[in-house]
Amino acid sequence: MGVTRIRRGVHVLTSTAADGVLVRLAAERAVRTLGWVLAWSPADADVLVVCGTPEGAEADAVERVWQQLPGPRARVRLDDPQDVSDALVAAAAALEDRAAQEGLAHDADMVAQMSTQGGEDMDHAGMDHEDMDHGDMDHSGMNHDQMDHSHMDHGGMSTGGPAGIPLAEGASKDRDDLEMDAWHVVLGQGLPGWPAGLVLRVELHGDVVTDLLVLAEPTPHGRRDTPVQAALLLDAAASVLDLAGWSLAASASRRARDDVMEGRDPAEVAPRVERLARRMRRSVLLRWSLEGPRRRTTGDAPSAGHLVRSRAIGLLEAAGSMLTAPERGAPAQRPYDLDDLPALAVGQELATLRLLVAGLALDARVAADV
Amino acid sequence: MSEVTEAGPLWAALAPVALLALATVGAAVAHTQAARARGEAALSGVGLPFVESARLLRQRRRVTVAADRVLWQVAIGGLPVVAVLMAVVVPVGPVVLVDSPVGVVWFNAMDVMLWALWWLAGWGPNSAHSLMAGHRFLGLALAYELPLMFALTSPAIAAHSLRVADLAAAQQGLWFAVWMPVAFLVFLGAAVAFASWGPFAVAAHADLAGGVLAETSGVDRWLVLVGRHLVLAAAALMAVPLFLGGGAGPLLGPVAWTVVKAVVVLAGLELVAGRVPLVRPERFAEVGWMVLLPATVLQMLVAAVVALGGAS
Repeated sequence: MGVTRIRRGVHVLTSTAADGVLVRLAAERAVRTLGWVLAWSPADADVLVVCGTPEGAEADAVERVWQQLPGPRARVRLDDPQDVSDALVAAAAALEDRAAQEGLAHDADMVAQMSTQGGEDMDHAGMDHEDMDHGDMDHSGMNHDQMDHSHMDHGGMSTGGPAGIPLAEGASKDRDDLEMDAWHVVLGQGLPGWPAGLVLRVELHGDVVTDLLVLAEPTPHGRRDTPVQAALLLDAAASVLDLAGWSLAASASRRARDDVMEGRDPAEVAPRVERLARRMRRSVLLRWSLEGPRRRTTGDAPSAGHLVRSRAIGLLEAAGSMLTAPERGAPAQRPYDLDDLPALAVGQELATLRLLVAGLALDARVAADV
Repeated sequence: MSEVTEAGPLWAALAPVALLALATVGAAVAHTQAARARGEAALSGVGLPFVESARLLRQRRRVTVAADRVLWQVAIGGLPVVAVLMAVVVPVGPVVLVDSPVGVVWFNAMDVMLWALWWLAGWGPNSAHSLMAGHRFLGLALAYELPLMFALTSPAIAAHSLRVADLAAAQQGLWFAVWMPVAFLVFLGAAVAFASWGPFAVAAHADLAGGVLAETSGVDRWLVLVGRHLVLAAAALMAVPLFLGGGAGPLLGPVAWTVVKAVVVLAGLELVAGRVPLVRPERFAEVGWMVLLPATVLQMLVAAVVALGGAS
């Protein structure tokens, strides 16, 4: 049963280890040229592309993300940007392989069954659930938002909630003086636009962040060539734009990124990037959506929204100037850093935290920046 | 009173298929725009709704641990059902499925059902991101619902009727969209919002890992995505008798005009996706209550004064 034509519209989730950022760029470019789509969550994905070599807890996380793909599913691990296209085509062929898919489906059912053993209700055939903190402080799991508790605490759990999951603990008063349940969510791989190697544990009242802990931080890599660095900035800008909902602008930024990585003349790409930066600066809706109706008066501390917007525009402007004048190097501007994240994000919605994280452009961070 | 005839049961069986065909056109428009933005050939997005459907229909369904399966399924299956129920009161040319004397109120009741469905879709999977997205939708709904109700009321006042066919008939000469632009625009905006689409896609967006879609796969996901396009299609169809003169138009018959107008409105609604950033509910609440609500009340006043003037 040969696959004569490569399928269109395959959804791909990338999971990136610290050394896999450039592989991810290549993979996303290949996804685009094949007419495929980047997935927003494991449930949305057909193919899991593991970029780089995940180690330790990270490898466990990849395994859990993999278990959450509904199937038909395929997984590829890539070290070399050169191999990407062939590997993706092979993955598409694997999706059509009936026998292999039946085996994978059987595996998934076994995992699901294991996860419900001890739970009183066999109906709950899933393998993941939301990640309230179950008292186990082992946060080795950094997949997406679901921590898989299949091997941990379903057995002897007797407290309250459904399927042995304890209910969220009550917290004192929240931002708006309401009594809310506090829940804990681990944010990491598998989220769209999430930087490689970063793991956060947030405490939430509803969707308001009340506490934030950095569980794992990506190590910055060595200095890169100017065009590559510019491409990484464009990539980060695309992530911010995607999370802000302006997906057409995000696509434009990704295309510019891919053109740079393909070796297109930077001087040719630069005007497009600058035009995009101008559009962003002029967009009344983007300003209003991120910053709110009130203009900032001088002297005020900038809000998270102000920082995200200026950072996103700054990313594009920096990329543009690196492309036009590579000899000048990266213009240093970083209105906030990972250390500022707790102070900025506490009191904000989870969505704002996501924007702040994307704005950090951690994938583009080089050692000298820190 | 304008004459429309209620269609027989055979047509009732065909109606969901027809609405699905309209929604497919809408989905093709949206996919084409997204595919072009990714740099694909101009028309390559046209087939994508079918590619995506085939992909999802052969995908396995995931069920999360301790999911509220009943309510989750109610939400997933409810979206297409509510969309069809929205559309049954809309006359297509001289025929309508349900010639209700309170068709406008029925439509409004159906769009309020969407509050429950989007929230339940967030509640069902027992997942943090989904639940937050469901709640976020309610925040948005609080801001758009009252302006929408007044926007629906204005044409009804002008036509002295809540029967949808009467509204279409009352626009001979001048469309309500022309002299009630505020109500028309609020209706379109609210349609995008209750379908959780484009700038109002707060229930299903990337910043919450897909929100209510974060855990949904296979046929469940297909039903939610199709349901959303069906809701947009139903709203576009409703806009035709409500604001765009129904089936009135030169040369083509009333059925053709209804379809043409609905497709144009639907394409507009679909194309809004991705062009502007997501509007956050907490920001939109201010606009909804401080700007749109007074504006639609004024619009209603204008409609009432004109209607009284016409009656005397």
